[in-house]
Amino acid sequence: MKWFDRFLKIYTYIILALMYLPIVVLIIFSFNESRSKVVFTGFTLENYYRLVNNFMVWDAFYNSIWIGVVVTIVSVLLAILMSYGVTRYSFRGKAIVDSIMLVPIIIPEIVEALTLLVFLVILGFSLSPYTIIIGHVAFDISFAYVVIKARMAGYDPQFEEAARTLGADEFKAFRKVTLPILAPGIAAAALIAFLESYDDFIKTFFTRPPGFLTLPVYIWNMASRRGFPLDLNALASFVVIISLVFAYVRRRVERGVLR
Amino acid sequence: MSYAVELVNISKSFGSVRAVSNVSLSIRKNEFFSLLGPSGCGKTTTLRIIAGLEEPDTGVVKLDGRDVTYVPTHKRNIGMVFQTLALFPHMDVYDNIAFGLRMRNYSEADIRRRVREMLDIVRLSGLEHRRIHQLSGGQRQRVALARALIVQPAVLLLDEPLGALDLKIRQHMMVELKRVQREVGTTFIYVTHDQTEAMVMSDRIAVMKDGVIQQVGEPYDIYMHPRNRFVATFIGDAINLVEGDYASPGVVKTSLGDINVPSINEYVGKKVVFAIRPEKILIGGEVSSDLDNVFVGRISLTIFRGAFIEYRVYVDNMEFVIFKPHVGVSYLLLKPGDMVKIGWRREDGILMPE
Amino acid sequence: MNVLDLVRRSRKLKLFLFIGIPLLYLFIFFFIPFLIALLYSLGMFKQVVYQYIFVPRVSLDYYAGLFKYPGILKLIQRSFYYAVLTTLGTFILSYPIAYYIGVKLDRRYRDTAVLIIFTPFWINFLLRVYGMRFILHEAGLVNTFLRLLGFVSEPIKFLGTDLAVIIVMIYSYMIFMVLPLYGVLEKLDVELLEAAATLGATPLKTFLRVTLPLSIPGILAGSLLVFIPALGEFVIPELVGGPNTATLGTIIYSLFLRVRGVTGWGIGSAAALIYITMIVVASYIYMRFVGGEVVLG
Repeated sequence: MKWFDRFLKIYTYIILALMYLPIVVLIIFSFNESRSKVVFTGFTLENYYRLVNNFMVWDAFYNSIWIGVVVTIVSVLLAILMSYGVTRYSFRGKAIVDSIMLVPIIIPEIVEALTLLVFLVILGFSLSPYTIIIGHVAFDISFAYVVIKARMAGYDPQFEEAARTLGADEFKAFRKVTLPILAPGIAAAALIAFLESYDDFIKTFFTRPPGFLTLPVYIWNMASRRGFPLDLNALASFVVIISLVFAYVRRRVERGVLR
Repeated sequence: MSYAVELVNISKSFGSVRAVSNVSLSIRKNEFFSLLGPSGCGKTTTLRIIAGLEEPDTGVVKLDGRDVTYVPTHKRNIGMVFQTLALFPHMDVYDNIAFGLRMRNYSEADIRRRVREMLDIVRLSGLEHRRIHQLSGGQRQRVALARALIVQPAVLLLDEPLGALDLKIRQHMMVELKRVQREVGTTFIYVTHDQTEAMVMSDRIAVMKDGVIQQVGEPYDIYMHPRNRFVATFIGDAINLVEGDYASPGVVKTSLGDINVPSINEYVGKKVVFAIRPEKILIGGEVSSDLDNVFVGRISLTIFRGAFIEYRVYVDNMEFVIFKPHVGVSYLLLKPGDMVKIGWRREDGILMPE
Repeated sequence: MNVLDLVRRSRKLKLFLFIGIPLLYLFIFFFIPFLIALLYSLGMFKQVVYQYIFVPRVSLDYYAGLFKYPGILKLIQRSFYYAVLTTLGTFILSYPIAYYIGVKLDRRYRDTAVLIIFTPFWINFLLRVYGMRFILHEAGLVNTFLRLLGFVSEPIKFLGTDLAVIIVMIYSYMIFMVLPLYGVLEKLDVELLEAAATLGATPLKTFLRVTLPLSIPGILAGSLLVFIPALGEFVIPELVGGPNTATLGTIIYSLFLRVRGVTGWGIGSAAALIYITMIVVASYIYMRFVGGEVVLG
């Protein structure tokens, strides 16, 4: 069976390499001169100059970041409350509450996006960056909850009880003992929540005010045209670098979680 | 006579770690044979090599006289009971036990009959359609045993199967295993780090350390005549060891003074380790003046152990462990701090090379 | 007595604080919108100038509108076709990878391997799909490769076809299949496989009788994670497909985009609810079919 193991190994490597191929190709073509063909005609940095001078991109990037940060703070706070409640108290319907929390992860985003839009319009909300935030929090609570709850389920409440025998009240015990122990889990949850918001396209697209751009919406506007807008390739290089930084941070955080 | 299992000069390394070193063993048919040693001694690797789950770097494995060194596991006709039992969680008791027969394409009617028989032997009748997670630890043990035995393997390999059980159930299962082995008449090779298990069940025991076999023999033999310090300390609850020089035949010079021992010529002029088992030592009123070895010590501790009393007695700086059954109550009269005589017969002492 | 003391004394207050607030948020901004959209699709809200008012009567006009949409049945059929092929394709491609990493690969390297699989999926989904456009183009890598090997003389036109959509969907959804499969295979007790071998099972039989049945929870989770979003996918058909690759998701998207306003959203809500119904029915049948026993037991 040695040959079979070797076959599996080579197969895995090939597929993994293919996963990276579209990204590598994007970056290679970001240096291409010709904007009309998918053939490499000559090296240029032209696409990067255009990217740097495109204020719309940076505006969109800025919007993605600040919306992501607000969404992360709100959803992580709510998720901490929820996970604490579910792991620490027993009450009727706990299993139901737990599965309700998973629904936003399972329901396809396009359905969430459209129903939220209809809801907002019928209630007479006008669309704004805040409606985007409201929508993002509605699915990000669930992502953050899953991560924090997993961490909290493995946390021994005796730490907190020990703190209370030493004279801390419940709030102090939570703040001084539970929270620091859960910190790596919370950091991991925050990172995931941020990325889900920062990278979200569909829900943003449906609930944004007209003309308001985030990075994914900008990418969509460019990519959904026919042809090959090469400044998008230059933007891809930038996005890839940011993503690799996130991946690195995430790995560090996860190592912290394991420890 | 052909052996059930023969290992000839088996060696196996994992990276730079030599797990099994030049092991040779001949295991007789219908024998209950134990591989005993601390964790990491290579006993499990040896068992896995017999099963074909590991390939040895060098050496030959023979089953029933046939060289199977490079035969894959599923063609060896062995049975194995794993440490975690490895019962298939997606099958019930019946399907687990029937698995091996199905792999051999038996008819379902035949399988049904044989599974019934086997359930009888391991005393699990009526539980056929339980799921594995609904069984107790002892019941799982029996299912694993039945599953491995039903294919009538040439040899049954058991990898510390009792490790996870409570003491009481473990004691019970030891006797059960022995009974089943008698009943089915199959060669059992049993790997364990628990010397009690090995002593209770085995016809013969091989003691291993660091991938090397230290001694092979019957339980009585290994207990009474350990070949080196490791075997002496590993077997039995406790042992008292004193180092010394075998100055002249029958006398070992030690820091406690001269000890009279059986005379063994090959040790003359060499450093030796003298050993005496705790139950061989006489204490207090038992010590008569014509005993071969008599010392005076101070009792530092008495421990009531149920079936016997354990005394700790200091002679100079050496602490002796002594076990005494308590017929009557006289031994309870000895108290910590008392000075007592202790002693033993020459022939009860054990001599080993340094 | 301050507020904190009040909270400390009352279990109900505590529960409200911890469970109630987050749950309330989800109800207001997730579940009630669902309900509203349902009522809306049933024509139960009427626009009066700038306001919507509730009218207690049910009309199926929007559903009728949806089914008058040209080629709607073909479109629903196509969505199914894409989703099923994507699920199958990701499964067939992922299983060997998950098996290799989860069972064969040395434990020490597994985390790194998962990281390597994961990393491309951290890069914006739209960009990755856009990147596939370069690869599937007539002058792209795939065609160059096929020509060099002499399989084709004329470049194949992938973009705009079903094939392109399915290839890119499989590429994009792989991770949702690999991870659950890896999850079960990584936990698979190797001793079970060894036990099967000691009982006389050949490697193939061991796989069919032990490994595969024990991966069913992962197969179930992976298929649902792929199938559900794949059924409503509109980004990929928009970016690498053409006029003949419209799906259920495409309708919702284009109704939203082009027929903004009451009618478009009404029909869109109807489509969204039909989509959800399809998911629930398909998942239910699938779970019953593949092995509800494993999940339930």
